[in-house]
Amino acid sequence: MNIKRGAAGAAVIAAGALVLSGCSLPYESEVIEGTEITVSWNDIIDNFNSSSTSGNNIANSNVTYLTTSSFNYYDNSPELVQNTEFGSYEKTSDDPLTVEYTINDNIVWSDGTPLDEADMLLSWAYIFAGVTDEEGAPLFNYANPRADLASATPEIDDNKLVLVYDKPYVDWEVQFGIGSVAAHAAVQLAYPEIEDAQEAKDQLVEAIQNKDSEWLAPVAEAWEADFQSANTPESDLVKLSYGPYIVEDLVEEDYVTLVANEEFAWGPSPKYERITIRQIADPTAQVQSLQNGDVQVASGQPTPDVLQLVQETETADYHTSDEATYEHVDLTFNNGGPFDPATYGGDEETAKAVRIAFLKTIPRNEILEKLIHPLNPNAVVRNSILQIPGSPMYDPIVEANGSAEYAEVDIEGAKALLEEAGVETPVEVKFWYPEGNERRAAEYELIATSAALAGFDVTDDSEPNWEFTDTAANPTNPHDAVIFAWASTSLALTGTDQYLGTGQPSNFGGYSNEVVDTRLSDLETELDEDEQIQIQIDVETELWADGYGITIFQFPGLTAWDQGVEGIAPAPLAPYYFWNFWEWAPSDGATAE
Amino acid sequence: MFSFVARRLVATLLVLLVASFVVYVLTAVSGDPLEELRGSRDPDAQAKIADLANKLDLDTPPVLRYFAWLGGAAGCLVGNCDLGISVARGELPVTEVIATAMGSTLQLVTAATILAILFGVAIGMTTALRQYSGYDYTVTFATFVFYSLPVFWVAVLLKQYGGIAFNQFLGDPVIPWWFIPIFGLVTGFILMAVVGGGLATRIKTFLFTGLAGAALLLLLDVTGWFAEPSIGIVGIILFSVANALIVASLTTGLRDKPALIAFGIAAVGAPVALWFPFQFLFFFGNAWWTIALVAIILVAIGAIVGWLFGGDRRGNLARVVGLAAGLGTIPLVFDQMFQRWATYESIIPLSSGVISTIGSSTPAIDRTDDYWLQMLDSLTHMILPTATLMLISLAAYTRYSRASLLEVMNQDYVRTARAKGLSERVVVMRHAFRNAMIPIATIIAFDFGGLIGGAVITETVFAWKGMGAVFSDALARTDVNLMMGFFLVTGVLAVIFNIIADLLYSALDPRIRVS
Amino acid sequence: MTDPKHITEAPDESRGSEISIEQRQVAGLSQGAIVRRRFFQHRGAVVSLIAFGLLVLLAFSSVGTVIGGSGEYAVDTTSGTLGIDGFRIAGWWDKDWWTRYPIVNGGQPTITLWPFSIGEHPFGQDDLGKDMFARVMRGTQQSLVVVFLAGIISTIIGVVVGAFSGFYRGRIDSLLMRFTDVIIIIPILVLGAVLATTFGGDALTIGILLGAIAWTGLARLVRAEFLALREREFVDAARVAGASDGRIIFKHILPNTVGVIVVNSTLLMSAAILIEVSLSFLGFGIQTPDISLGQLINQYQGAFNTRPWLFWWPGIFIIIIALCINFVGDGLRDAFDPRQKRVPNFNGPMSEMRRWWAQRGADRAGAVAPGGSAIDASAPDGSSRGGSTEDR
Repeated sequence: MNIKRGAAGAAVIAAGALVLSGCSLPYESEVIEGTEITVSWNDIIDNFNSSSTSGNNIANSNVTYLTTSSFNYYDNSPELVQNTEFGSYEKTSDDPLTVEYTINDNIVWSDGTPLDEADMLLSWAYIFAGVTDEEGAPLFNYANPRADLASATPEIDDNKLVLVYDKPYVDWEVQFGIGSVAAHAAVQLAYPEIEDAQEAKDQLVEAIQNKDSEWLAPVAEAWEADFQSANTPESDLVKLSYGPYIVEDLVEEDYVTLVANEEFAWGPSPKYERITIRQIADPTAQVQSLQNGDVQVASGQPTPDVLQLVQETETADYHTSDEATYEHVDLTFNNGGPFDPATYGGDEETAKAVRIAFLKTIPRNEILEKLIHPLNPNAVVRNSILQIPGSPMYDPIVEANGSAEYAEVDIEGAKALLEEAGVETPVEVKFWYPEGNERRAAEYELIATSAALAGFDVTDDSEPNWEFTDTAANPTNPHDAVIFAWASTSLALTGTDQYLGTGQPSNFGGYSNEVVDTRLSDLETELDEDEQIQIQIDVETELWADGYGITIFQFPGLTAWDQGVEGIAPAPLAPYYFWNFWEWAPSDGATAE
Repeated sequence: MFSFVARRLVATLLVLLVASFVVYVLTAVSGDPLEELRGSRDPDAQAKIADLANKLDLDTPPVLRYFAWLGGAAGCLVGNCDLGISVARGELPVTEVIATAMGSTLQLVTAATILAILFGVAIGMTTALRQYSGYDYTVTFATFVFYSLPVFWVAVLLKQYGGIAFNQFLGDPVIPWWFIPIFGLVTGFILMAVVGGGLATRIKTFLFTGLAGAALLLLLDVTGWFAEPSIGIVGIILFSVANALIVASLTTGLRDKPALIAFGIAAVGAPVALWFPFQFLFFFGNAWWTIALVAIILVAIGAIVGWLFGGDRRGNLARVVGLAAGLGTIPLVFDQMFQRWATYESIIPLSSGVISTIGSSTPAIDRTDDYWLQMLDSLTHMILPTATLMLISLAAYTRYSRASLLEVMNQDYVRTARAKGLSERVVVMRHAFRNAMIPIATIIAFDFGGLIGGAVITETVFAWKGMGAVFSDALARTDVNLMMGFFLVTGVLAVIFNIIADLLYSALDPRIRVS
Repeated sequence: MTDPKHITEAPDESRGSEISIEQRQVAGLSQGAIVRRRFFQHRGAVVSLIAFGLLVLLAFSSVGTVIGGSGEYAVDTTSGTLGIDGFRIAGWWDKDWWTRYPIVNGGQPTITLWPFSIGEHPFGQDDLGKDMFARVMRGTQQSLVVVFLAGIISTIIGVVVGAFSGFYRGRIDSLLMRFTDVIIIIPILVLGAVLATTFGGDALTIGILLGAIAWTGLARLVRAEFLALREREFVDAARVAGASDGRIIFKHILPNTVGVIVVNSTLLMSAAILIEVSLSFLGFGIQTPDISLGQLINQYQGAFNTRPWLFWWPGIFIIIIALCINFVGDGLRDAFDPRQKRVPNFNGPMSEMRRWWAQRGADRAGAVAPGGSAIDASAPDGSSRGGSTEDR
């Protein structure tokens, strides 16, 4: 069937075939005419600007990953890889931190307009909140504007931009990039009377350099609002691409089809002429449609049954691995519960002993073995709060951070700690997990039965809503211990202060440690890698010694694909299995005849 | 009559208004739309939370917020809809989300309703006529079982066996030899039970239909029909003859010579003779109106022929022959679709078979501009979800029409008709049938709510992106605006269905109009 | 397959004397006795009623139950075993629905029919080793709680609303009926899901919630009955005799509507279990650690292909419950409103064959039997029996 499909498909689509030999560049496209791959994801694009507040999510980023090129990307190690065929960046000075970005020549948007410094300047304007309105608020509704990092308008030259940071910044390498919106598109959507793309860019550059917020306000609005589109956009400006693919067809909540970009010549060439991403939320349904042949790639959080279903599908290969999301138990320090010093009259040591005793009873290995190993036999207990297992810094940090204390369940040790602290048992621990979540209910059962042996009465405090995360309504977390997961989207070192720092918005447990606070802010400006590791060791040592909480496991991920496709190599970080889409190809057996 | 409808309309709109308030407030207090963001460690989560709280006006209590929403919704009356933005759907305007979602659900629900009514009424009526026969008991038991089945249970089973397993069969369509006689036995037995009659009739029916069924299956198997199905002129002739016989036996009876000739000319002759010229029409027309045109032509031919052969009952005959001829459109349309079978198989991504288990269309087919290919594609996507929904409401329609016909058959006027010496066919079709349909009209409106509920689940199982997905997304994310969009559509539809039922009821039953 | 009557009476001559037999059967009996008798003639209903009774008995006696408490997990701090908060009544089955047992036989059901043995875990185990039999039994209990709560509450609300509305008419009627319309226009799944998310998901809450929203159809029917009945003479008589409104409603009119109420309540109950399943499927129904059949089926729906026993057992029990209730409802409808019952107007092949056999014997004896067609010609008279029930 596959064979027949290849031939007939080519015949049908021949009218719209690509011109492969028309390119004057030495670059050779490897797109195979008439090939199409259908993959599934639990959500699809509804916003072509994946940088704006409303557009910044994984589903949008996955598609814009296919329609843009970048200076670097994460591979499946995960490690950051530079893409020199597109452009290059170079740190020219440490003090002040200066980075020079250069885009290669001949890189164009899919409408033929060159990609140049104007696009980079626009990116600077929103990423670093370069332009503000009268009240000083960032003009562009960027997801995470950092006005404190590089406030000076960068110098620009042909295809060049020189970014001068106000202070050293550890994650400078992933901080700046060109988004999915063309500078001239944003301008022309805001000012339809400007017909020439070059003129639009010139005016934009001038306005940004002069901080002309009045002229820029409509541009900023168009930049955010006009790129929202759940169906194929009416204006071609919205779906401009400078990556290997262009959005051809988008049907809300259903599918998006991307077709190879004829102009693309700066990076590895994709093989498939078309990629269709279908939205299928349920992992079982994804695997069933893989069985049925509706899609060629399925991925998601497996259950034992989904995994078995994949294993029974003879026409599919699969890969289980860690995802970047990790499960952890956090304790609450300020709610008058068993882990709050205030309960013991402000006795820090007693509270700490109770915390550590409780964490020692958490059967991490049993949880892993019973719940995760059936899904990912290679999974390991995560022992670092800051780093994902497998990342280069993970091993040195784990060796020194004191997590070894918690390696095995230690009921006797916990009992001894409680006795020493003179706490009356049983100690009641109100334990929250999201009601209706089977896996976490099972984790609760395992934790509760284990902790009971040491004298903890772990009560079921599950609720369907995550009310404790609403810090406005609940300044203190009513639960003594909570179990949930944090998702990482990059290997960036910054951002952990959001949940570890004193009084930070995601610090639901009221944890506060001066050393942690200062060391984390040191980390933000530390450029030396060894120093970075040392800082993280310092932070983690404090965290583990304080009984801040405990990390358990990485979420298992499952990617399964039809044997008619080769080159699928799932990655733990966004854009997940999409990261090497250019390597996807029909397998030899399917195209040989 | 007009004031009756107008009064009902005003009352229903008020009801809708109050109900919308109830739904709004209940949904708003049921959760937190920002929950997902609050659990996020993204550095931009805080900015997003503030942004959305502002956009959704979350600081205002829900009761007041409702009126702001109502203001926007009132704009719909003057063509300026503002139903707010949807958090669950990437902050898109709700109107846009609903507009897309409504289409596929309406398609699904309408198809399921029509099929359920057709089959339900047919099965219900035949069981009523064969009350307390083995057939009746079997069907009664089966309808009770269907009645007791959870929707998604049916959906999951159909997906596995009607979809994935059937596709695997189509990949290598070999029918085991023992299946053919069994198929014949079962077909014969079922039809024997339906047709009923005395022992001799039953044996004849059993033998005839059983052999015919087995022979047909054997023929299809030998000719490789399952691998490359087509209808062609042979299929059209077969269908037309069967169609003419069925319609004739239900309306005029098979002993009426002139009527039979009329049926033969219009319902068999016309579609077969016009098959070739219509090929060009379908090919160059390439749109839905060609179907309408063909149907009109055939109905017209049927009506004229019926009129010519009708004698003193020409009006009546023109109607039934027109109907029979019009039904001839169906094989013609299917023939068009099946002609593209090979092309279709080559485009779709399925490794074998054609029955899709997800979504409402194949992206690659959407890109072609062949109307018939797209229609075939819709068919292969709709077949399973429609069957699921249909099976569930089928049970209800069967039960109700059985009960209804039984009740009517016990009325005095039916006894009078029998006493006059009218044949059973005339008694049932002319006297009982129409009256038995009256209560069914109201059930359609009642059934609608259940169908929407069923659609929510069916769409989830088959990954359709309709109102069902809108509903579950809205509730899972406490997206009040989206939920209100869902409610507006279902509410307005329910109102429309109720009014239609009222009108139908008063049209069928004159007594209603008096009050 | 013929009606039991045919078997008890002489089949040859039953046609002509059928009606009088039926009339003889009910002569001199009270309405209740007639209903009871008619109900017990409905074989499907009787079998279902017995099966349902056995099911209830099995569900509650096997794993016992937990009364009171929060229904959430609680840990025995001395032994470190998990339990459920509340007073535990043990059943004869030695396993419970929350403990993780060591996995036997890969979790597959240990029940075997030949040689018959129940084994350690007759319905199998889930991935944590929990006993499926105990879980299905507990789920059945909770689903039954939902069904009965929903049935009772919606019946009470529906009857009260319908009765007041139909009896008082005028403003009260239009107010109550508009309120009913408001509830009716919101799809029940929507209302149920929204309320269940707000009020949380244990069996009691869901049962009460479903009861609070499922009464609308019944209210309309009861209202229609009341509208018709309040004009009847016996109501006037009661009023003249000085009976209070409450007395007229509950003592005089209500007993006459009991048929409609009973039949529709059973239908409500069978709808309730399916709605509970749908809610659970969408994730808005009963939540762990509480169990219902719908929640089990939802939890294990992915296991359909791989570990079918997790999916089929709870599903079969749902179908059994709904089927039993539906059949009982059908039997009740036949009992209260026998108009749809009708003597068959044709003879089935079985009776024809029997007759042919008998005739053959008769032929041998030299007698001439009447032809079958003559029997067919005698039109059945079913409508006269309809007169015994109230007019709608």
